Formats: sequence, structure tokens, C-alpha cells
Amino acid sequence: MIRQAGAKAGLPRTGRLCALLLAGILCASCNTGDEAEELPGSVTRSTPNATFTPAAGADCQIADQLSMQLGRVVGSGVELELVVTDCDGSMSVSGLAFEIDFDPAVANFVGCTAGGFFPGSQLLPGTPACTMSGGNVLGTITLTPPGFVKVGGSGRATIVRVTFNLTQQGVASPVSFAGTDSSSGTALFFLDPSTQATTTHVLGGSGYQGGTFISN
Amino acid sequence: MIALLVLALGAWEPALAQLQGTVNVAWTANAETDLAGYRLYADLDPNIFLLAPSQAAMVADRFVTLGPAATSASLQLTAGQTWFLALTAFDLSGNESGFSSVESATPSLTPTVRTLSVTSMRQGQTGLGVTISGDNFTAGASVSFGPGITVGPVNSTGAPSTLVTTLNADALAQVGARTVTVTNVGGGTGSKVNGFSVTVNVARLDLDGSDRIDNGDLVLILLTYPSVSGDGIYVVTHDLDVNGRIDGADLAIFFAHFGEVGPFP
Repeated sequence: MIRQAGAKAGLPRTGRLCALLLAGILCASCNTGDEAEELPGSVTRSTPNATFTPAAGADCQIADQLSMQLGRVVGSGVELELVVTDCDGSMSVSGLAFEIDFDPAVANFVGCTAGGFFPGSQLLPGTPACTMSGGNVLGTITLTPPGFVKVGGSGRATIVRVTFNLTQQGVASPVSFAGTDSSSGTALFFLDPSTQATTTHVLGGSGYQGGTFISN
Repeated sequence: MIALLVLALGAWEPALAQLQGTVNVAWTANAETDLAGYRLYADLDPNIFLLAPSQAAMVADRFVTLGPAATSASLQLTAGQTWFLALTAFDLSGNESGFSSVESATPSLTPTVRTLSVTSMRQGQTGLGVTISGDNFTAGASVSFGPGITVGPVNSTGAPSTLVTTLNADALAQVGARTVTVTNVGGGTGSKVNGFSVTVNVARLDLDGSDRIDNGDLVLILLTYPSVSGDGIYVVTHDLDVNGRIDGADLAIFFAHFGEVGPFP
């Protein structure tokens, strides 16, 4: 089992070697003079180019939603952003429990980091916490009670980032939320101001949108 | 002329604190203005105190002279034997009183706890056999592992170097390091600080009984976090280390086992 708690994104910087061919053929992958940013766990030589296609946008086509969106991509490394969409201002979010199913034959789980929606100083000690077993990532991020945050502005906010490294070329592999609308699986936590109790918010099936890992 | 200094019986009030081969003696000070000091005598034979002090001084096993301000003294005496002690006072002219009442003491050996065959147990675990190795254990010695751990009969046939016993931990024994203490017959004690530890019963973290340590359990803990014993929201079943507080230490225990799947032992 891979376990990570409270991880922060570290970005080692590497240069890329470029083989220049004779007769003026340029190396298409050269970044001469620039250093490429690298996601933790990604490999930069002889690895698939990876990406992620969300099943749905986070743009209020579904009013209240938790979705996976594409974050940073470098080489075989793919960062998924778990985004909460609240277009009617109804959510007082105090935390997120998430359970993600993926195919371990095509991807490795690397880790998770806070998405910036929750103030770092108010996070519950030990969160975000993620653990992986088989092809299942179990994670949580929550505020110290009785904190909560409203999704304002554009109506969307990134709660947590989950990073994977794709290991196979030429695949299209689904990634989905599991155990939806359950505090034991995937659910948004809301704080009830009147009781100061944490409750889970029911989004329903269409309220949870995953996507597909793509590699070539 | 200096009056013979006589210790009233009430003035000799020995407070015998028996330590490791040590006998501590205390008395009430004399009030004479020409007091020059005291002499403390110790011997394995009480009959020496039938002699005059000047004669006893020549045969006593131990003989200590103390100043006029002294009201206590410590003697290192062979442990496990019964010693007899008495006190005299003397004046500035050298006149010595008769003996006070004779008291007896048997100093105890101090045990040393070196190693344990098992160094941890889980909350709720029962029947754990443990061998304690060290020095100077006496037959009949007792052992303590702190609150929440019940110690069974102690087998001291291996004394002075080993003791064997069986431990039972309460279901809500406090998690963490423990001091192991051996107490010999006679009161001598020796301890090994942090010589043993109690670990959390992981099954306790599965608060919703789902056979997985997950967010369903975290939601329940958050109902009582943070709190201290006595608060209206405090629940001991959420106090994972059972220290009277539901705090970051309990969260650390929880996240250390986050995602683990049962069944839990």
C-alpha cells in the first residue's frame, strides 16, 4: 500500500538532451535554453506522452458537481484536479472524501496535494491524506472543525490534486469516483452551521464525473 | 560540669526509609547548649548496646560521628540482613550519653531492570507472557507496567536475574511508552523507563464497523474533535491514545492506518 499525507508538490528541474541531426533536421522535443518542469514520479525518456480527458467540464452544465479535470501534464505524469462546481452558491464545503478507481496496469499512483481551495493553515492535521491499494486511491482533505469555505467567484474550485504516472503507451483507461455519496467513499462534507455537525452532501450519480487517461 | 546527655526516648524517633542497601535514620535534635554532636552505631548483634558506648565503639560494625546540627544520617549496610542501630549524644567536654532505644532495619537490594523479552502489546491484548531480565531481583518481587496493564502472578524462581509473568492490557489502556518497575521484598525498586509500550488496537479506528479505516470513521471523529475529557462532546472511544484528549495525536494515529482493510484482530 502506498500512503502519503500532507504532501506538497516538489518539482525537480531537469534539462533535456537534444540530438541534433545533420542536414538541418531539428529535434522536435528540444527546449534549448529552457529547463522542463517535471511532476514527481514522471520519467522523461522512453515513456508515453500522457494526458487526461474529463468526462465533463466544470462549467455549470451540471449545477453542483465534483469532477476530475486535467491539471499539469509533463511526459508520462498526469495531475488530476478534483474540482467542486457550485453555480448556485449553496455549498459550505468543509472537506472531501474521495475514492478513485483506476487501472494499475496502465498507471502508478504518485501522491496528492492540497488544491488551494482550503486555507492551508486551517487544514485538519494530517490532511490531505491519500493511500492506494490495488487500483483504488482513498483520500481525504478536510478543515479543522468548525471550518468551511464557500465556493465563490467562478463557481469552481480545486480542492485537491492527485498525481499519476502512466506506464503504458497507446491506452485509453477510465478513471472514476467510487463509493459516491458515501462518507466512506466519495462525498463532499458540509458543515451545518446550526449544529456544527459535519454532514455529507448528496450530489447524485451525475454529480460525480471522472474521465479517461490517454497515452500515446 | 557537663551533664550527661541523655536522649529521651521520645527524642529518638527513627524514620527508617529502607532503600537499596541504605538505611536512613532521623531523630529530634537535642536542646542542650553544650551539645557537640551525635554518634550513630550499627551492628548485626543487638547485644553490643548492652556495653558502654566507649566499649561498643570498639566492636561495632559501623560507627559514625555527626555534628550538633545533624538530625538525620544514611548508612550503606549489607542488604538482606537485619541491622540494629542506636544513637548517643556528646558534649563539648567529650562526655557521651547512654544509648537511645535500639531500632532494627533490613535494607533491601535495589533491583536493576535491563531487558524484557517482549517490549509492546496492543490495547485489549491478554495473556502476553514476558520475561524480565536484570539483577538483584528477590524472591517475591512484584512488577508494575503502569495503569491499564494487569500483571499476573510473578514467577521469581529465576531470581536474582529473571522474573516471568503474564500481562493483560485493558481495552482502553493508554497508548504509549511505559516504565517497568520491579519492587523487591523490603521495598527496593528499580525501573526501566520507556521499557515497554502499548499500541493502539487498530480495530478501534473502524468506528463505523465497515472493516476499513476510511472517511466514514473520520467523519465520526470530527464530531468530537478537538475535545478533552469532561467536555460535552468528548467520547473516549474516539480518544485513540486514551490520554483524555481528542487531538492531533489521535489524528496522527488515525492517518497512520488510513485505508487499512480488516478484518482487524
